[in-house]
Amino acid sequence: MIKTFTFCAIGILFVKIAFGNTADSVVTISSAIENYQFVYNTKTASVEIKQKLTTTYIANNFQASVPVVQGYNNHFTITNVECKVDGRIPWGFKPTYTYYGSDDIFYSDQKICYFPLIIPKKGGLGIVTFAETVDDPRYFTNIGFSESYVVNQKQIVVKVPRWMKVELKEYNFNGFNITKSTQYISGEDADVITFTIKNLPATKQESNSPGPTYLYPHLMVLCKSATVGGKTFTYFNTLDDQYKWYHSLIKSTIADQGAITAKAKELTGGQTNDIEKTKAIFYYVQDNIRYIAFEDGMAGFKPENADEVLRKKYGDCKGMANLTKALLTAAGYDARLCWLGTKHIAYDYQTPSLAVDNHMICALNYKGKTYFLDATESYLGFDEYAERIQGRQILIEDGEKYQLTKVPVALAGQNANAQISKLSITAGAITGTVNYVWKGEDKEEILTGINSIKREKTEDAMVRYLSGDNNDYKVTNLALSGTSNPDKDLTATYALTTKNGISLFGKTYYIDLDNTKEFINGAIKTDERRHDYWFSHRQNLTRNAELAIPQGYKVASLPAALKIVNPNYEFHVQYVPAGDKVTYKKSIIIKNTHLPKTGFAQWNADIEQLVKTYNDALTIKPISE
Amino acid sequence: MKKPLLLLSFLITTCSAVYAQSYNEKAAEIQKTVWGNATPEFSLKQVPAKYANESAVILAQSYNIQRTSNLKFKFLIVTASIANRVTRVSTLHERVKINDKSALERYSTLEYQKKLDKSMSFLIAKINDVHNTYIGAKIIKPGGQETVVNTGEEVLLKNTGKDQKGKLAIPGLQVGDILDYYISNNDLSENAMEDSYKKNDQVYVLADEYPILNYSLYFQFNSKTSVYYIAANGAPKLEESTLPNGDLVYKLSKKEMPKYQSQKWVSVYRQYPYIEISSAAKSKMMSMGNPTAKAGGLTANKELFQTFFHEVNNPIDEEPKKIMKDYFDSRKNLKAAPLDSSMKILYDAWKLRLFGNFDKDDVDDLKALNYRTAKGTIATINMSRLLTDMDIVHEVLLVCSRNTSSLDNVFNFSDLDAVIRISNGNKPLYMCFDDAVTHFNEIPAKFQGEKAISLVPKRKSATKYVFDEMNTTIPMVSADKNHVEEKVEVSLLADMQKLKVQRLVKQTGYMRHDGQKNLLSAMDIDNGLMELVKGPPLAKRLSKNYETKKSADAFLGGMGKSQVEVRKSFMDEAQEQFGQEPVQISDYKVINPALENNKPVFEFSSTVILNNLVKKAGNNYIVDAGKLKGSFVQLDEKDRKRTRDIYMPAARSLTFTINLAIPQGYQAKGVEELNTKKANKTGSFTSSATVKGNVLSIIVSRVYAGNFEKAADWPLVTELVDAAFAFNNQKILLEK
Repeated sequence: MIKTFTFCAIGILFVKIAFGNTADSVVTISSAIENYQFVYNTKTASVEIKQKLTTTYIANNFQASVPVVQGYNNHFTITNVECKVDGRIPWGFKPTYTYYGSDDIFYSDQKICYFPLIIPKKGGLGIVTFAETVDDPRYFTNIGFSESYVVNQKQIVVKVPRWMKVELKEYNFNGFNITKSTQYISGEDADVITFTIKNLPATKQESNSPGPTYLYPHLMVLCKSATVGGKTFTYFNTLDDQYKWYHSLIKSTIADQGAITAKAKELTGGQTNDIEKTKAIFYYVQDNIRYIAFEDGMAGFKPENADEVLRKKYGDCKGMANLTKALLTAAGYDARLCWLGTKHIAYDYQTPSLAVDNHMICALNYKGKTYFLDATESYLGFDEYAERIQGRQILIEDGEKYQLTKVPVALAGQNANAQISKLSITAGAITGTVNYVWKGEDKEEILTGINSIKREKTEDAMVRYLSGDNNDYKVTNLALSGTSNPDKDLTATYALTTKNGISLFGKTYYIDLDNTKEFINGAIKTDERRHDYWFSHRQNLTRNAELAIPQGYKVASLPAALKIVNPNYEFHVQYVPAGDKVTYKKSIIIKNTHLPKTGFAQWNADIEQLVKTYNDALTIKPISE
Repeated sequence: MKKPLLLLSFLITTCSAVYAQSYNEKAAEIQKTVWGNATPEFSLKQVPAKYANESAVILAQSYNIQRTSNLKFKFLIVTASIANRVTRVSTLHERVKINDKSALERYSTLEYQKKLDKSMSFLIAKINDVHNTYIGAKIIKPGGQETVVNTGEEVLLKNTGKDQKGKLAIPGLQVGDILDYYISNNDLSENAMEDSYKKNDQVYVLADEYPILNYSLYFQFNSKTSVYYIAANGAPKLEESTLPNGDLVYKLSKKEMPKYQSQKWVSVYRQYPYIEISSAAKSKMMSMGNPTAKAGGLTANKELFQTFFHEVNNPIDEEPKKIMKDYFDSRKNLKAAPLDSSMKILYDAWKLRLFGNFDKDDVDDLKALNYRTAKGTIATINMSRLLTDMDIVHEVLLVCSRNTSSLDNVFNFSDLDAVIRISNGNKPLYMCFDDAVTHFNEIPAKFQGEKAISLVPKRKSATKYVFDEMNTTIPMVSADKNHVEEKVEVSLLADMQKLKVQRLVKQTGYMRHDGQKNLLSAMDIDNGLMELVKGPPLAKRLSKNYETKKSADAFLGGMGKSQVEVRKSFMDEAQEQFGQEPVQISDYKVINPALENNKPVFEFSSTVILNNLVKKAGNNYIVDAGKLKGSFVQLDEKDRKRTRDIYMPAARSLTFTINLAIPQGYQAKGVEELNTKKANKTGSFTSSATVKGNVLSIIVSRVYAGNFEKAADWPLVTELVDAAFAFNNQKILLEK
């Protein structure tokens, strides 16, 4: 789903993070100087950016090994690489140039230049210099400051001739020791902007954290236009310019209209309701087109022809969006292609740049409402939205113009993970029936899991999931609803026998009716965690377990109820006695997926309360006692 | 200037075009051969109903290898030579019905080494070594419509002149389709070093990820090829025949081959049928200087083993003996030392000699040092020659690891292992060459109970040893010798939610190896090995080798563990033991590293704080007592039926003594439920609990009596597994 340009444009920022060795600091970057200069290439009659990046590593241990990696591609050329260790070029120094491989990307024209930098002596110095050229200012979108290692001092120097109109937008400077100075060089009629950074911490990869553009200080480079060599070049001066370029890439994206029309007819045949027709098309693409990220040159921006995606039965987000649009259009609906940046990216279209977006979906306008259709989300229903795109600004094609709007934020009820059980005590065990309902992204999670394993092992895997991989929680007669209808909730029903949640001492039962205990290990290690925590999606978990009290027994003690309500999340846990029954009710709602560091202390305190409640058992005694 | 450039450019373009054409022509020819000559099974479109619930069903699968080797005259610079030109075409052809998205994902992409040219040129001479892969695929839709995939839609993940890696996403493939594809590897090699049984070894396990309806193997070799194969573990023999041109053909076909299903405690190469086959040039000239080239099977490799005693071809490493002599300081002391003492020092000297010496590349991954293992055959040969020289009566035992093929199914030299048994009255002494923490006279679990060939060497001359041979069995080590003993002091913290667990762990035999390698640093082990024989310090050893001398600081600085690393090692160990990450860990240390077999018990301690093992219940508390010893194995329903024999890692035993401090004002209830006893011939599980004062003591014992059980005894094993797992769920009540 991430287009090529994201990688190359933010190359410096991302590549180093991707390959960085953050586990222990074998080296420190004692100094780094990065020079960027806009120049006019008279031979190609184009503006280029010349870069020279010099990094000095000091070894903190003997035989310090640093994997030096620099990305490049068709627009980003490495013209020279130098390396010296303690003043000498290492014996046999030979960088490797190869394709960049990734599990997420089937093929990419992104390449990497890498070599191991080995500094034998503690305190030894390794100096690495890359000289690079970017051949089109549109692809020069970011300058990152952070590295995988602690940086003592770094200088970023950007020389901008006054014929070049560019804006350097500062991100995440707060809390870092960064100073800026500007100097005009009259001889070259250029401004030199220098950023000096001191004591910059190393980057750190953490699960569930915001994308790097939220975390690390960097410059967004907005190349607007240039007037040089008697010519004027307009890059992305405004969003109009960016759209114009995007629009030029989607003007011809169907080669065989006949194939598309025939398929649209086949899919909608027999349907009379418009929404049902559009669903039939959307679900067809979702279910039959495999997502494969293929990013080669302009293919990183231009969607594959819709008929080709239909023939191949695979495509990337652009191809899937294009096929969805083509089929809907062929069926007579108003469908458009849309560009957007997922939540991973900190920017929006106020800053026109190739770094703003990384995803394409399809919009359907029907009876005054816009439905956004993202067929890469294989198991989300029509008009349901994944957390990663909810609320994101979206650029919608509209002929020569564009529309700018936002993807709706899903209603609270879109996602659900609900368990209702009716239980009793039989021969010292808890027995009964349990029903589950999963909706939205919770449903998607389960279906993704089910479809990634072999059919004959589905039931086994589901039993393991439901039992928490505990053989004492015996699941029998499991009935899973059909998994092929995206409009329907996913449900499971099964019979349960477990001795795990019940203890008998004398004649007294001690009972635990919660077998899932979400967030029991949810406390955040504040001494280790550096970044905010982002939940994968909004959560709406409910548990309702009704236990029939055995004849001759009474509730002797009920665990204390828990109620934690704040704007970001809610925890409710309660045992409710009623007649000869007692019902365990739990509701956990994650309303805001972003938990900032400032909220960690409160979150941990609340989790402690939740865990305490989990570890409180219901007591049932004979009435006679 | 421009003309030569243009010419060069033209040549490159022309050559590329010629290559492309040639490749495409060859691809077309192979496609015609594979699909044109396919057996009727490759036309199947229907899957029997009983396979309807399978993720995928392989309608037909065939492996076809055709090899030709010929001698070629090669001109070198001032002379000429004979090169062995081997051409090999290996084709996997598979026709598979895809029934779900998991299988679709599995089969949707083909990735292959399209071209690899490792040819070497020496002025006018060229040694060819070229590999090309050709692929083909067609999709058969449920309605019968057949589409041949355009393989030109591939992408090249690597594309240098001599190295191309291709990747193809199969277009149009959907659940319900049949995919009929092949991957044909074409190799041409004149590199004699690449032509041996070892290098050309192919193993075909007669079970796959998916059920196979029709399976076939077809191997064709020209008459100048030497072939060796085995059919192991009940695999049928290959059908052999000779073609009119003299080519040898070996083939096999099978129907309804079941899929491989993973199980606990199996030894794949002992229990699953497989065919292993290899080939090499028949010409003696081509295997000169490479005695392993055509050593196939137990007899040939045993003979090969014996030839390695040749002292001229393989000089003896005298260093262990020298270290031993230095240790005893004088010949008199050495002579006066009991046999087991002197042999122990000799063995420990070998360990220091091997594990206390380093390669320059070792510095790149110092954490891997603890996991190095010796080449048992090579070490045994050297040690046997030293012992022979010292007139120490001993046998060399040729054996196979329980984790690999059996002695009967030895194929290559590397399948063999060896140990030494020294005559010592009725208590023979063993020297086994495995890892750095193996003791003198310790038999590694992988050899215990294994059949072996005993060879008693006699030195006739430096170039000739003769051997008396007989069959023998390496003894088992009883469960009590592979033992874990853990003492656990448990108390509730003031919050009555968390448990403080103070552990003292003692491990012996097989059960100590992982702990030693994980908790000790490479420096700890090196120091230990050095002290065993009063050997030279690490810095001195490093300085003897130019390469390691250069990196001496890195070795010396990096072989120890930092405080953070030590803590992490103990944290990981505790996490594995209790199945949860402790809230805290403290007082962690190794008490005895057990590198010395006179102090053979590996001993360590740690204190952890654990959460979620205590429940409040009104005024009372429930403690998950059964989980205080960590978790036992649990069995899935599918594991309950078993037809394969059981290969345990070793006979072993574990004893846990748990002392739980009962908080003041509380009484322990449910203590009697903690008493369990199950025993049968496969082992036992017992637990007993008593309260003395304010301490609840629980003693848990689990014994796995043997390292092998027959499948028929699986119910007895499961009985114990279930008893142990049931104990895991036991709780006690602390009643106010």
